[in-house]
Amino acid sequence: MNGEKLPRVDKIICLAGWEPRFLEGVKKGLELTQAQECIIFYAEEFTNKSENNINELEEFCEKTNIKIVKNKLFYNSPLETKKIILSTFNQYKENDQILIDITTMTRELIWMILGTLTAKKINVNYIYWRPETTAHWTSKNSSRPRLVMGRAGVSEYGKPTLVAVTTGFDPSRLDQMVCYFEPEETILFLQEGHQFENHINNIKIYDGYRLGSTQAKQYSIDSYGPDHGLEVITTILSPYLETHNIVLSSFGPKPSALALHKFAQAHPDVALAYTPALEFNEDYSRGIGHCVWGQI
Amino acid sequence: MTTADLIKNPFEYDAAGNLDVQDLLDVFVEDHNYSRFICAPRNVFLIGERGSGKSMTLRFNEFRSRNANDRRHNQQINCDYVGVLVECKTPLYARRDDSFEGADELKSQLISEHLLVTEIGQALAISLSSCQSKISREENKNILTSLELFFDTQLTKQTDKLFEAIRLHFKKLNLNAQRDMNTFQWDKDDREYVTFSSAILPLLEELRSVDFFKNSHFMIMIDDAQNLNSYQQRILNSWISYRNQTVFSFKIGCAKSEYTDYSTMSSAPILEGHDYIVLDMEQPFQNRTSDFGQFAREVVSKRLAKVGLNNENNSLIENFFPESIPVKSAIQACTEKIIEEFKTKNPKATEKQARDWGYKYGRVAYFRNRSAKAGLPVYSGFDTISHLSSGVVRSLLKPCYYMYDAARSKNSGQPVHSIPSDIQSEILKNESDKLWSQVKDLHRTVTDCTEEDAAAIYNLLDNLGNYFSERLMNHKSEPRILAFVISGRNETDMNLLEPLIKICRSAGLIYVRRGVSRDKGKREEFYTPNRMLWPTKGLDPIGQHGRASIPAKDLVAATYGKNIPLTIQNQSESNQQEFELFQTPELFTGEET
Repeated sequence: MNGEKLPRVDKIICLAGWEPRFLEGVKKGLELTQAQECIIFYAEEFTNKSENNINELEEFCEKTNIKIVKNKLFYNSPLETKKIILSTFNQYKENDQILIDITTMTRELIWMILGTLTAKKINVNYIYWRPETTAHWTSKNSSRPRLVMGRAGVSEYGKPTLVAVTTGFDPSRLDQMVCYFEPEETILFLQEGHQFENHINNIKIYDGYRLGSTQAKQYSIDSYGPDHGLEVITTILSPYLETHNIVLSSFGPKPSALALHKFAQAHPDVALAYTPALEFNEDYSRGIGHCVWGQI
Repeated sequence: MTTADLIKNPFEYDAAGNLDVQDLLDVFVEDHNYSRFICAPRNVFLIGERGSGKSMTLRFNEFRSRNANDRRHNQQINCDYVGVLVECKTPLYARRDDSFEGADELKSQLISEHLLVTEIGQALAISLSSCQSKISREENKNILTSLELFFDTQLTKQTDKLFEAIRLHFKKLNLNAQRDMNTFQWDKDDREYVTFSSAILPLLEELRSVDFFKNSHFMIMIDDAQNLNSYQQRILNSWISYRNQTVFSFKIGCAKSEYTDYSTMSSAPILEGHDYIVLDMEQPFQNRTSDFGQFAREVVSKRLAKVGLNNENNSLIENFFPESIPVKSAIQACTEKIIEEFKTKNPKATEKQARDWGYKYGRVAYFRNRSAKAGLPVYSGFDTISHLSSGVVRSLLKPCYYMYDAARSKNSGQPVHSIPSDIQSEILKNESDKLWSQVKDLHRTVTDCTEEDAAAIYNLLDNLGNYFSERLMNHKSEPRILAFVISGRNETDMNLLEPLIKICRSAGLIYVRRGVSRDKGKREEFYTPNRMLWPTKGLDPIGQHGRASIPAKDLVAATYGKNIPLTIQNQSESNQQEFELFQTPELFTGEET
């Protein structure tokens, strides 16, 4: 699929990245959706890495008479980021047609934006461009996990904690989650398939995963499927809603973040957490592959 | 005792929170030195890293556990000290200060206190729920009526049982506050928030109007207090500073390295000795009246009793964890030889001096005389296991757990009555290797530890091991030292070292303690690496009293992979030290305290 049937939208929202698929993906999205406005969020901490792509995108938009709105965010200050998101979308209305390009967005930003837009009952379309190839590592040196602003759920005193994540290539982020939240239960949703050597870089490394005295339960999902794994996640996690404080996170394929968003939206007491990394692999993705898109 | 009981591994080392009350009572060994401080009308900080026993101690002192213990011993329920356990470990505590940053300072404080107070209220109701039947209907009704007036709300909508009504009330307040925060409009609300004074104090006073609690002192025991946000830590410190401890006091369990703010909301410090006392759960070695070795024996004896092994002739531990006979004999032979040599050189020495000399250098001689081709030493015997635990209970139980499992496997699943020394040694070496693997992967499990930090820490510990090893083989007067102080401190070096040491502390790789220095009796901090690191290096885990003085610059260089230089004493220096040593016998204990 290359987005040929994408609906027309008014605006595209994206987070500037340094990867080639960011620039190509947003350009394609603008062409296919005939959007008149492009909102580019960019993280101050990574400005120097994404500057070239931002400049090229600005040039493209100028040539094609697309309005550009640039807003600076702060990777290390989720509170400031949340404020900027709220002010950016303050005037948006229910009948606004939006496409959010999640390709190079952090999960935290995806959840903040979706949380804000869906609270306004705005129709949100999304698109994700897969890379053509990937390196074997994405990030390292994880920092302390943090609950997503506005999506922190509600924790009941006396209930044990359950951590559920969609796994990815960086096991240290899961380790940090488990060490920080000290869950009674850990559930891993592993992406199925061999794409990008998933069976080696993902499935194999979590085989028999345990940290401390907790053995994790494992389930298979397809983040690239129509529901991005939502049905499996719902089936597995629903029995725990009354008995545990649930914390979710997404380290696997980006579309899995959408499934977790939907689950958390349906069950607002569930928390979404993000584990920042101190270092990202700038050469993680090469080229641009197919896209997955849909409507929230 | 059923067969299942006999076969179950008695050395489960699960976290305290995972044990039910009966299991807790089965395994907990009360250290009466701690109990007399906890069950007292004073504020206490219990500090120590993971596995040191803070949570177990607090859980044991919770009212429900104490009741169950009293019933076990056919004693009447004692209400003199009523422990309320507040566990700060739900994801709520992941809402750190940035949840409030930029918001109105006063509202941030109010909500922080509200959240903590409503958790205390729920915990109080849960801890005392088993006493519902001890409260008469009239008392129940009177208290509820009073509380409804205080809280200006109806408490009996869902239940007329006092403690359940209290729990639901505080639960509702707590959940509503969290939902307010999620809308990001909380700082604009006019919602009222509860405080310790408005909610908990009246509640405690009302409880004391009940016959059952009329003389009770309530201990509000807050575990994992390092998880509180900075407002809550200061609020808690403010409560501690009240110092009116007639009705209540606080017992606070926290990780040493992470609870660092001891100031109140008005920025005044709370003072140790004045406002609170400290129980350092990592210092049992230091306190002769709380000898960890003896405590460890009690812990293990109690565990073995669970599988039908009783310490009838006081030799249970030695029989269960026998020392390797060849090693024991070899150390004995070396000790006797050392004593003979000492007596020859010092004909006027007393028998005690000769024995002390043998005690100090016998093991050294054994390690020095081992053939280079012999491989790693055999590590066995309870003393060795106890020393390798570095004074941390969980680190004592964990290898015992794996030893028991291995012995049971070899025994075709039948109950175990003794663990062969070769199994003990194999497990201890495995545990040592695993610990080194954890060091390499520290960045995966410790917050804000990068891969580079993990590599630097690995180098540091590796070079410390090499240093202690060289010391064991070559140092004249204090060869078995396994602790160090940092000399030649300067800002540059300490800026590099302190963050790494902090990571090591939180990971249980280095224990930081305070002791008397030789420099005019001043107090100094000294550092003891986790002894479980040393079997991999072939070191003697039974160290000796004393600390090596290592310059900061050498430690920094060690993080980059450089050896820590050892100053080998010349013979006359060594003789002088020996002379001084035996003139001041109180400095010498023969092993590290």
